[in-house]
Amino acid sequence: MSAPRGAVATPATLPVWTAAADAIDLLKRNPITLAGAAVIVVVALVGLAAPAIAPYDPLTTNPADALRPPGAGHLMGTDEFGEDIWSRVLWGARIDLAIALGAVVVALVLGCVIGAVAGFWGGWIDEVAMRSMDVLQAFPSFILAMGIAAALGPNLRNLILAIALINVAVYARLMRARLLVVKHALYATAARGAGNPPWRVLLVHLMPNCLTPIFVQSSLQSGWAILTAAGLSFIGLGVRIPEPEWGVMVAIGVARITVGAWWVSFYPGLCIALAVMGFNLIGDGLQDLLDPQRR
Amino acid sequence: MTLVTFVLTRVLPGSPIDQIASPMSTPAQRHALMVHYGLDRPLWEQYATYILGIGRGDLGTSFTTSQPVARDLERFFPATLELTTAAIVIATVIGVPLGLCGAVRRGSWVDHLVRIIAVVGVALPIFWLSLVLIYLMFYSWHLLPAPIGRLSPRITPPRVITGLLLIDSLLGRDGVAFADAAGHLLLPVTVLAFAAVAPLARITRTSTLDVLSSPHVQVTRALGIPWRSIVWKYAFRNAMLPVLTMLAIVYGFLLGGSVLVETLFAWPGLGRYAFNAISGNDYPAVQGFILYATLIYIAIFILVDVLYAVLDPRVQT
Repeated sequence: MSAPRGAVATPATLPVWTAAADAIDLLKRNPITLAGAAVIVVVALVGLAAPAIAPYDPLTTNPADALRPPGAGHLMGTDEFGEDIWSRVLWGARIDLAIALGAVVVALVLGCVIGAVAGFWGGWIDEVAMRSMDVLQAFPSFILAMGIAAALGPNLRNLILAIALINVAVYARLMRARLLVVKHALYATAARGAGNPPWRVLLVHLMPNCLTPIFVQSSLQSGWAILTAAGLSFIGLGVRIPEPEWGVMVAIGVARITVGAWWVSFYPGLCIALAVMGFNLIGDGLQDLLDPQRR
Repeated sequence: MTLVTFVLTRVLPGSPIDQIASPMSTPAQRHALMVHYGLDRPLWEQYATYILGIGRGDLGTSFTTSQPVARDLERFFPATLELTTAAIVIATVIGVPLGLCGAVRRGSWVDHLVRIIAVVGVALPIFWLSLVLIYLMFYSWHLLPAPIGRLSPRITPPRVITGLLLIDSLLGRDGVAFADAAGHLLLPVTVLAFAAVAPLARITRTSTLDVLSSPHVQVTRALGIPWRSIVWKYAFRNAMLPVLTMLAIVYGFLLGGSVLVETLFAWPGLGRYAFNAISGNDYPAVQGFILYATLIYIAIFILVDVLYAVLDPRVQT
């Protein structure tokens, strides 16, 4: 993780391997992180297997079966269109995890590139890049996401983009800060001295050594991504009705809550909470791992 | 920043003219409307006009309410201010002592409670929590008034002094209006405060732990100063510094959350105004809201910086 360690062995592989080994070690000692990981694994498996295990098609409406309370036949009841909520919740795992994954990957890649370029070359590039990140962070994040999602138009791809854009600055800062430290490490000088072009030094020798804090952050950000995605979809700025996305499903239940049909909104919202908790617990565990003082 | 909000709203799909003009209007009438709102000009010219307007405190005219956006925002601001301020005050009163107790008695039940709140509080979607509470408090148990607006229709609103109903009704010595306003505030404030307690308790706990293990506190312990006065005299002030920053961040989070909560509780504030503006392609209103919210956010950060200087003399230059 720190520069001297990377300097001894091949910088491209070592941090990832030690991180993996440390993570397994951590899971063994920390049951709460293990629980978080278990939740995410279950959600991921459910998402993958949704087409096979969902008893009903998530988009088939059946007016005769509208607003059935949970019970036999419909484990979590049905919504006002007669859609089976259990099946939709299972499909929702697929959509929401895809959003989280997509948003985090886009933000991570964009942020790392911006941060790396800014930190490596410095000068006016650094100024411009980091001041742009300042501007992004001057907005309250959910409100900026609303603006971006509204500007791009409400659909899945734009939702992912909007959530990614509001988080780019976080990764850019982390990458730049680490890079400024690593840049002057002995192995970097050695790589330069061996005749590697600057982009190769950056890409192969420096960036892999900056990734560990970024992975921790991405776990925490995945939880945020799900919350933001569900919130935006809830107000109609993300995935649209009738897609089985958890936030949309909560929104469908709003009008029925005051007539007592609690199940329409309750179960999807519970899933959001569980998934977010899962990611946060993993993130916390990883953070403790990186910061021995907090153990 | 204005450029970002401007570009964001101009690339909005759909034309605001569709919202203003009746479906029957002729292309000529539509064009006349475009000219009236300046939408036929090149984008850079629209932007220049907008920026010059902001300089004069003019945020343009809303396409849907036909009112100056600045006046709209001013009109809707007190409702949001009351909501978010009540939430952040309650969250601070609960969250900071919790975090402090958790850190001081590390490993005790309070500490575990803080950790649980920190994990659960940030994970529950506030719009879902709102619905659950509406279901329980209004539908099942009939404890609170219908989740619509700030006052029940049969209550005469107090005379507007600050725009904050709780304060106005107190100033007007109107107990009925006060109770009704408090009843309407209770749920949305609970929801927002619950979400805000988690980060506040968490940062208080971490920063207090950091300060308690710092050299200057270790010295006071070695000197035999009682634990209680170490915590209050030596650790508390230093531990509060990161909490201040977190307060500002949380306030920004509450401004965003108010969009969700206000929509659900039919709360006539900025959040619901923004929601309606987005649904109606109302560029100036959306721009105005984003700008307004961001300015509030920045103002709060400035306030925090000032408080920092008060709490930590090292910051003063």
